[in-house]
Order: sequence, then C-alpha cells, then structure tokens
Amino acid sequence: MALFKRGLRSILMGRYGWVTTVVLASLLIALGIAGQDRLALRAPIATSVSDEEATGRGQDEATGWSHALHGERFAVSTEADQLQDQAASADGAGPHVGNALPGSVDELRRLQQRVRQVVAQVMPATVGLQIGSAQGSGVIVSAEGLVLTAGHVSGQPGRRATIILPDGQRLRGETLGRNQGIDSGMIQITSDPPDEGGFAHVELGRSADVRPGDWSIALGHPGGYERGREPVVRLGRVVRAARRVIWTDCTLVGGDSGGPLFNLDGEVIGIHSRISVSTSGNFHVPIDTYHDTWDRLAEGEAWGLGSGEPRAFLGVTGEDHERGCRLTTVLPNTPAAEAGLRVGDVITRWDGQRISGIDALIEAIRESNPGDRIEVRYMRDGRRGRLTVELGQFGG
Amino acid sequence: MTHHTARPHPHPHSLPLPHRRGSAVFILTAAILTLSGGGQAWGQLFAGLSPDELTRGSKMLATFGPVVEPVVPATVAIEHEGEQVALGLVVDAGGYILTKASELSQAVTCHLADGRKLAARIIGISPDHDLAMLQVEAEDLSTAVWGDASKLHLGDFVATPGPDGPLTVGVVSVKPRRIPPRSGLLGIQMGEPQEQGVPIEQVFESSGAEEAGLRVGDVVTHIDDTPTPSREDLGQAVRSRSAGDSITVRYLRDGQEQQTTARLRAQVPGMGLSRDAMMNRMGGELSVRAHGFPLALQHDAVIAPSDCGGPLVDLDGRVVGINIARAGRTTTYAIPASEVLGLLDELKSGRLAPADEQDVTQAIEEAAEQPQ
Repeated sequence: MALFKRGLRSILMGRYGWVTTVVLASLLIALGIAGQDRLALRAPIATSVSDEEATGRGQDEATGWSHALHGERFAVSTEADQLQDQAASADGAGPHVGNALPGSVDELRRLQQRVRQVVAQVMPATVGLQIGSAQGSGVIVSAEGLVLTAGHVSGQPGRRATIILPDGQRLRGETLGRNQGIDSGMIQITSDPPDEGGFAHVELGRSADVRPGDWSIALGHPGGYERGREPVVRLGRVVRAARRVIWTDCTLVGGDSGGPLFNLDGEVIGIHSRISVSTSGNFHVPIDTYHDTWDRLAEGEAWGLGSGEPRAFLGVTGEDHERGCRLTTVLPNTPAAEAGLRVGDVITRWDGQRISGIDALIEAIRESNPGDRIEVRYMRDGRRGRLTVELGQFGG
Repeated sequence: MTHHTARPHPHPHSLPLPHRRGSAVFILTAAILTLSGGGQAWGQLFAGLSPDELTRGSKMLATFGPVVEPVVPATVAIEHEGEQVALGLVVDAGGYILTKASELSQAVTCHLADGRKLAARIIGISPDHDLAMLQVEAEDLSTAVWGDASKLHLGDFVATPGPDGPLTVGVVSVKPRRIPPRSGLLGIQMGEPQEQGVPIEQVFESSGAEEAGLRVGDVVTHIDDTPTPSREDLGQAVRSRSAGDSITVRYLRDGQEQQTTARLRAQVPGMGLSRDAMMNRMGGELSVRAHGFPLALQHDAVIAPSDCGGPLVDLDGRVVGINIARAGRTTTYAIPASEVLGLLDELKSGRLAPADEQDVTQAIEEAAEQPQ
C-alpha cells in the first residue's frame, strides 16, 4: 500500500491533477438505489463520508473501499491501449461528427435542434426498473422487449423485474445475464408487446467510435421512478473514452443506474454505472462490451467478479511490451510463481487469447474465475514457452 | 464471507502480505503504476477533455456570453454583510427586484450589475414559491424580457447569468411540474413505548430536537395534538411533515406535562444520510428549501444555493424562469416565467408585505418551511 500511496501522491501533484483527483479520489459509487438486499452490499461506498458511513453501515460496505479502488483501477488502467490507439490514429482521423464545441449562438441552436430530436426519439424506450427493493433505469433495444441495464441493477439472473414505461405503464420482466466485472446486465420484458411494431426501442451504436468531446445525452430516473415525471434529460460531453468505461460530464445520481447514454444520432453508446464526487465524474459501461458478450447476457449467464465476490488472482505486476505483457514482479507463493512464471517473461497469450499488454492481462484475469486452469504462452530469453496456471482467489 | 466455503482458496496462507485484500490492491495497483513508467505517460493515460472544454467549462460559457447579454444588466447579487446570499432579477425599472425568499437575511443589499449597492426592503413574500419582492430606491433600473417556459423542449439550453455574465449552463431536464415536499427529521432515537408515550433514548446534536430543548428521558405524548402512543405513531407524525416545518411536541418530564416547538431538518449529523441523500450531495451544496413548489421546471445546470433567486435564460436571451433551488446532484429547479408573472402584481402591492421587522423574520421563516 505504501507504494500505492506514494504513486497516488505524485499523480495528484502532477500536471493532470484535476483529472486524476477525480479518478483517484475515485469515489465511484454504483448508482442503483438498493434496499437491504445483496445489492446494497455490492455497492461501493464513498470515502468522503466513510467515517460516518462505515460506522452506520457495517462490515460489508466497509469493504467497498477496495472495490472502489478496483473500479478506479479499471477505469484508469484499461485506458492505455485505447488511448494509444487513439494517439496512433489521430493523424489520419478527420473531424469527428458530434464533438464540436459550439463557437457561436447559431452553432448552439444547431446543437439544440439535434438534441431536441434525439430526446424526442429515444424517450419512449427509456424505462424505470424495480427489481426486489432496488430501483434503476434501463433502455429497450428490441421490438421484442430486450432491455439493457447495469449489472448491479439487474442482479442475479432469473429475478422478477418490473419495467416502467415513461407514461407510467408497468410491465413484467425477468432478469437475464450480467457481467458483474464490467457492470453490464440484461432484462427481458415478459408482458405482451403492443400489437403493432412491438415495443418502442432504440438503436445501438458502437462505443469504439466514441471520442473525447462527443456530445452525449443521458436519460434515466434519478432518485428512482417518480410518477408523473418522464425520464430526466441531461446533456454532456465525453471526457474520456476507453474500452471498459466511458466518462462524461452528464450528471448522474442514484436511480440513473442502467439508464442509457446516447450519441447525437440517437444510438445507445453506454449504460450509466457509477459516479465520483465531482459533478463532471460520471461513468458509463461502453455499449461494445454488450455487443461482445451479447449471447452470454441473453442466455442468462452471470459472470465477472465484482464487489463482494471472489476474484481470480495471479500474483504478478507487469508492463507493456511489444510482444505482450512483460512481468516485472512475480510474488512468491502465488499461482504465477507456482506455475513457474518468472520476472522478465513476456506473456503473449492467455487461454489462447492474444495479450497486447498489461491492460489486456488484467482484463483477462478479471474475466476468469478463481480455480480456473489457464494455458499461458510466453517468451523467455527469446524462446517461446507455455505452461498452465491455476488461478487463486482473493476477496469473497 | 461465504464464498470461501463455496470455492476454497487454493493457497490459503501463502500470500506474503499480511492483509489479503490489501495485498491484492497493491499488486494490481502496482501493475498500473508500472504500466507507463513515468509522468509523461501518465499524462497520456489521462488525456481527455481539459476543464475549460467541459459542458459547463469556460469555453461554453464564453459562447453563451451573447445569449445572456440582454439579461445581465437586470441581474442582481443579493448580499448580506457583503456576502452574496442569492441572485435576483429586476422586474420593474422603478426599483423592484425578485429573489429567493428563504435565502434572505434580515438586512440585504442589492448589488446591481452597474456596481451600485442599494439597501433593500422586503415588500412581499410568497411562501409557496419561496419568492420575495425587494424594493430599492431607484427609478432607472435595467429590466429583461420575459420568455415562455412552456415553449421550451426537453434538452433545450438554459443559461444562468450572474451580474458579470454567464455563470453556468444546462438543459431542460423535465417540463414544469409540481414538486412535492420532502419529509424532515426531528433528531431523536425512540425507546420502548411506555403507557403515556414514547421515551427519548437519544437526542442528536444539532438537531431540531436539541434546539427545542428535548432531553433523554422525556416521554413524547403528542405531535401537533396527535397522540403518539407507539413508535410507529410518532414516526408517522414526524414523517408527515416537511424539512423546514416546525412541529409542536408535547412530552412528560419528571411527570410534568410540557410543550416545545421543534423545526424539522432535512438532515441531522450522525443520523446518517440515506444512500440517495449522500449521492445527491456529491458535487456541491444544496438549497435548504429545495422542495415543495407548486410548479417548477427542472434543469441540469450545476449552481450554488447562493446563485438561486436569479433569472434562467433561453437561447433567445429571454427570462424563462427564476432559479429557485439546487435540489440534487442532477437537479436544479426554476419557477416558470408564467407562474412568476402571475405573482408580480401581488408581490409588489404590499398586500403580502410583512408589517414590521419581526414579521419579516417570521415571513422568511415561513417561506423556508415547505407547504404541505
């Protein structure tokens, strides 16, 4: 922890202090409004009120600290390759539609016109959700009534859900899969769709195309569904975009969790997940992570290890290397050491999947389960090698 | 936690660091710290919008300069002993300024956009809307043009000017609707009910109960003449009132029947904020009187409580409402122009005026309370 704190301090004092303070102070809070069920236990807790909160909320939530750190870590660490991609493609990229900062009142009017259209178009598909004592938001993405939401809103697969349309109409549904690690979740409406055309729904975009500066529109039910109040509109810009998280300055709060983030084409690019203390710190699950795991979510699979659940553990530190992830530390008595990995090894593949760097490795570990036996390929002294590692567990 | 039994740790005692959870954080965090190997790359890692490029950043505010220009001269800083407590809007060149009632202290000064500082009298208060009319000695004040909030679309830009230009911007989040009041806290912990009522087991510091002089051991028998024989009855009686409301508490102390008045709070230190309340406070202070309005438009501009009371402006530079409360992380309320216009004559007439200074105080307090 000492090293971590030192690193934190130097980062906070650095040139990008305003950004890192937001992330590293990192009071990332899951936005669902949870009652006394397990959802409450999974919600990371703000550190700013931790003294009062910890005494009032007990052990389970006190552990939110480390989870908050993990949330932060992933929000931060997995930026690297994406940002590098961006840097690499920056020269060739033309002006990106949707990210211009208006420089005149006329340009404000054009932006406003666009925002009006998108809001009118997407409002009917934005829903409130009630699952057990938890409340959140969601968005209908198919005529048959498939709903995207946050993993911490949908919870375990197979639960009963109530879906509330903007006009107050209540529908029945059932929770499908979720990836607790990335905080994605899916729900199927089981009530009959309207006769003509099915449920009002929206199109999905691609979060890989999202860039800092893009205008985005957040809808949802802050504070939970309120009778007579339609989904609440917020406008903001993408502050940063990476594979595992989109950061905007659209203000969010509890109850917004699971609600949709739209681009100016009215396509869903993200799902609201968590916030930091700053009103400019609002975080969304990128829509591509849904695309990538669509079948697993639709089939009701629960995976990804998050707060309160055991997580897979390897026992190394590493850095980016042109061939993969170079190990800079292999801690003794860890799965990595016992499998025979050494400092200097460059991990090139994990369970057959190519590893592009430290982020990819972290992500791969995170997507695995404790106890999994994983084939690892690596380079050592210029030679290829392969071994099998049995992952350990922490947390839970 | 239970997962240990479900899926035993393969190396239960093998981790070299004393605290398993902590060590995990260390290992993974260290991985990040080594990821880039220097401050330069950290910079790259955090590449994104700079603060001036944010939606409420300086560049956007500059673009809104011409939008609010016609309203800025009519925007007033309401000050008490040199400190801004609210904003206000000149509604009549003859010296009438509208502002948020519950933020007013007894003596306020109107700091005009042209630099003049004029002493103001409170000549009318509408407690329901939390609006107050001030009068200053002037005949030549700048006024603004009113717009129509009902013509706004969801997502339309709205700007909040101060006396020096745009303060912040946002969009219309929800069309005008009634904002119900919120229940308040008394600040006691209830003990086992006795024959006569519910004894107080703890009085929280800085609560309405403490201010009212309630003590541990007092047995509460009535709230506002409603008997409170059980904890449910007492809880219900308190919850049915709003933060800002004053309630009458009847209680037994040493067998003697007594009575006091306690003001309910939106929050009491140590009583714990609900998760919802906690998140809503993330990102800034909220107005004390933030709920209970007959009609309010909701927008997403982030403003300080002391920036309430002033105009809200559309892209045409027209006043579409008066910002009335910062109510949550995502929420600012404004009383729509049409509603305000319907009140102006009444507020200027003197019929809603407090008769003397004591009444002024009382009227402000009443405005701070939320209507049922």
